[in-house]
Amino acid sequence: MPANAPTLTVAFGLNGTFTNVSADLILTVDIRRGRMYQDVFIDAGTATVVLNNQSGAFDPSNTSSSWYNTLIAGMQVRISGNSTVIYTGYLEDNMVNQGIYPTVSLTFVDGLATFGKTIAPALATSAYSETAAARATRVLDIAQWPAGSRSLTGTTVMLATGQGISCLDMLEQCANVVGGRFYVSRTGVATLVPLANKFSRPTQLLFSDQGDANSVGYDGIITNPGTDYVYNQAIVDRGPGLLQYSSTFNASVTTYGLKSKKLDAPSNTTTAATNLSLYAARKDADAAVLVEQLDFTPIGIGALATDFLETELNDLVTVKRVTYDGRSISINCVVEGMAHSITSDNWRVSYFTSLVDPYTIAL
Amino acid sequence: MPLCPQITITPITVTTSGMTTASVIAANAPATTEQLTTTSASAAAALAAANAAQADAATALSAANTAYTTAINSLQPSAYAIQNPTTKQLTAIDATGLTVYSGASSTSGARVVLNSTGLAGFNSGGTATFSVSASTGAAVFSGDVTGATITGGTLNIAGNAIINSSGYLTATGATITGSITATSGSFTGNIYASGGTIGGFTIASNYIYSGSSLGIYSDGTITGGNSSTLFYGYANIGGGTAGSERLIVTGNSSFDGTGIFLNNLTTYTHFFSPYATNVTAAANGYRVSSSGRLTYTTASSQRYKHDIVDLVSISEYNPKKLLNLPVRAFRYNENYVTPTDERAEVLIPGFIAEEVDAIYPIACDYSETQGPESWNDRILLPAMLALIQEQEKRIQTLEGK
Repeated sequence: MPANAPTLTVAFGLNGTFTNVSADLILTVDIRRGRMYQDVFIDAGTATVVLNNQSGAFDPSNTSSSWYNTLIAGMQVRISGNSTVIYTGYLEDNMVNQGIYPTVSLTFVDGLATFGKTIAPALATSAYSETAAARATRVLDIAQWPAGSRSLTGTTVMLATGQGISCLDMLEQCANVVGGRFYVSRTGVATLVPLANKFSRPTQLLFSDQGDANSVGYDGIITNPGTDYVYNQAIVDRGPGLLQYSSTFNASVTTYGLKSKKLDAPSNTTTAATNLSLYAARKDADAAVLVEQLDFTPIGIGALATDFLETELNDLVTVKRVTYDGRSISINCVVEGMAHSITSDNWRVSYFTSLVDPYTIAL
Repeated sequence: MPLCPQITITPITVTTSGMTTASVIAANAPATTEQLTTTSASAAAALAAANAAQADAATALSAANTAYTTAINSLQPSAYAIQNPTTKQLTAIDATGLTVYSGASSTSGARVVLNSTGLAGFNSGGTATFSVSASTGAAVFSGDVTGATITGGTLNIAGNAIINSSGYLTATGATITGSITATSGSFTGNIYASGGTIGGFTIASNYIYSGSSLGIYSDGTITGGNSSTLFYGYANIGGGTAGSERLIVTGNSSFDGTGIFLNNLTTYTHFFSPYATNVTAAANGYRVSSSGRLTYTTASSQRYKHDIVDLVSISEYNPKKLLNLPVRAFRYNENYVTPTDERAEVLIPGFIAEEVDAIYPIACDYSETQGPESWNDRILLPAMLALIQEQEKRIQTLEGK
C-alpha cells in the first residue's frame, strides 16, 4: 500500500476486546455497505477479508494458534483506515484454502443480516400505538441488538403489524413510516433517521474532474437520466383490512406515465398516512440526471482522507464534471451505498448515490 | 466539519396541489366477496362502533345490576321488620320493643333490645353482654369500659377498689402496678411495695433510699453519704423536752465499742452532763481517765477484791506521807478551761499531780505521754481517812492519858 494511502487496520475481537491482525498478512479487503439502487431497501453490509494463512494461524481448527477459539461464529471484525472505523461486522463464513498458497477468506456481515434472520413474534397490545423509535427499540430488543449501539429517532405513531415477518421487515416499516432511512453505521450503530433529519446531513466530499480545491478526483462515473427512478404514485399500505392511502402527482403521470410504488408503512393516523403518500408520490416524480456510481482512489488525498473515511450512508457528496462537449455539471448526491476494494497496493472505492431531493412534509 | 463546501437544501413542503388522493380498504387475506365489494364502510369504523356498542351494553348491564340490587333491598321481610339495605340487619318492632338483630330470630342470638325497661345487648350465644336500666340508670357491662373521661359519683370495683367523688381511693388487698403521680394527698392503711419510687425515693422490698444520700432499712439501719451506715440498732434520744437533750459530734470525735472520743477537751469540758439530777447510789461509777476517756471506776465490793490487808501494813502506802503533800492554790492556764467557767482565772485550792507523784505515787494518774496528769481521789481519800483514823487513835490515846 502506498505510503500516502490510509493505513488499513483489521482487528478481530470477542466481547468487545479486539486484536489487530498483522498488516503483512492482509491480502485483500472488500467492503459493501448500503444499497446500489435507491429504490430497493438497504442490504446487509458485508466484508470479505483474505489473509495469508501459510502459518495456519487462521485455520479455526489449529489449536496451537493464538486465534484459536477466536475465529468462531459471532467474532467481530473492525476495519479501520487511519484509526477511523469504516466497517463493523460479525463473522459469518470462514473458507480455508489449503492449496499451494494457503489463504483464508473470512466473510463478515453487519447487524442487518441478523435482523433479517430474526422473526418477530406477535406484538403485545401495549405496542399497538407506539412511535417508530419505540417500535424500532422493541424490534432491536427482539433481535438482542446491544442497547449501547442504537441511535433511533422517529416520533410518528405506528399501528400494530402482522406477525411472522422478520425484524428487518419491521425496521423497514419503521423507516417507511417516518419517511426516512434505517441502516447500521460503519461503527455498528443501528440507526433510524426520520425525514426531517435528511436536511442536516453533512456534505462529506467534493468530487471533481477539474482539480477543484478540497476535492477528490474520480476516475469513473455512471450517470442516469433519472427516468428509471421516476415514481409518481405512492400507495401507503397500513395492513390488511385497513385503509390504504394513495397519492398521485398528475403532472408526472402526464409526462412519464403512471409509475407506482407501495410503501409498507403502518402509520397510526390518517394524516400521517396521507402525508406519507403525498411525499412519496412527489419526491421522485421528476426525472433528473443523477450519479448512479462514482469510482475513485482515496490515495494521496491528504487531509480529505478523514472526510472520506468518516463518510456515512445518507451523507451528501457533490460531484462536478465537465462534459465532453464542455458543459460544467454539478450534481448533489446522497450516498446510498459504498464499496471498498483494498489490496496490498491499491484502495478502490465506489459510491452509489441518488439525487438530493428538497421535498418534505409533516409525518 | 468536512473541508468541502456544504450543500444547502431549501426544503419544499409537499401539498395536495396537483395531486390526486384516494383511500381504499386493504383486503384481508384471504379476501371474501363481501370485503372486496365493500367500498364505503370502514373496518376500523365498524370496529370502533362495535366497541362503543359493547361499552354501552356494559353500562346498561351495570345499571340493571344496580336497579336489581335496589329492588331486592327494598323488599322487607315483614310489616314489623326493617332491613338495612347494605348490612342486611333487621330491626323488629314488636311487643318486646325495638330489637336489632342479624340472625333468624329477634328473640335469640346476637341482638340489641330497646324498650321501656332500658337497653340490653346479647352476644351470638344469647348471653347478656350489657344492660342499662331505664328506671335506676344502673349499667352492667361484661366487657371492658374504655374512654377518655368517666364522670359520676363513685367507681366501685368489686368492693376491692373504690374511688369516690372526692378522689379518695380505697383499695383493699389491691396491688397497684405502674406509677402513681400526685401533687398532694395522703394514704391511710398500709402501703406494700416491692419496688418503685415515691417522691424521688426508691422503694425496695426492705428499704427506701434516695440515690446514695439517704437510705432507711426495715431493720433500723440508716445510711447516708456514700451509703455508709449512719445508724444501726436502737436509739432513744430525749424523751424529755425537745432541745434539752442532744448528741453533738464534732471534728474527729467518735463513738465506738471502746468509748466516746472527743477531739478537743479543752473546748468542751462537759462531755457529760453536769446537770444530771438522777444519780445512782451504786458503788461503781464513772471517771475520766488521764487520757481523757470516760471509764468505769472500780467498784468496792469484796466480790471484786482479794489480798485484802490494812493499809498501814503496807509501808509504801503509809498515809503519814500525805502530811508532806503540799496543798496549793493556783489558776488554770488560759484556754484550758472554758472561758465562761466560774473558776476560770481564779485561784483555786488543789494539789499538783507531780507533787502527789513524788509523795504518794499510787494516788497519781499518769498521761500516756506526758507523765503525771491528775491525782486519784479514790486512792487519796482512803489514805487520808487512814491518816485521820491514825490521828484519831492518837488523840484518843492522848486524851485518855
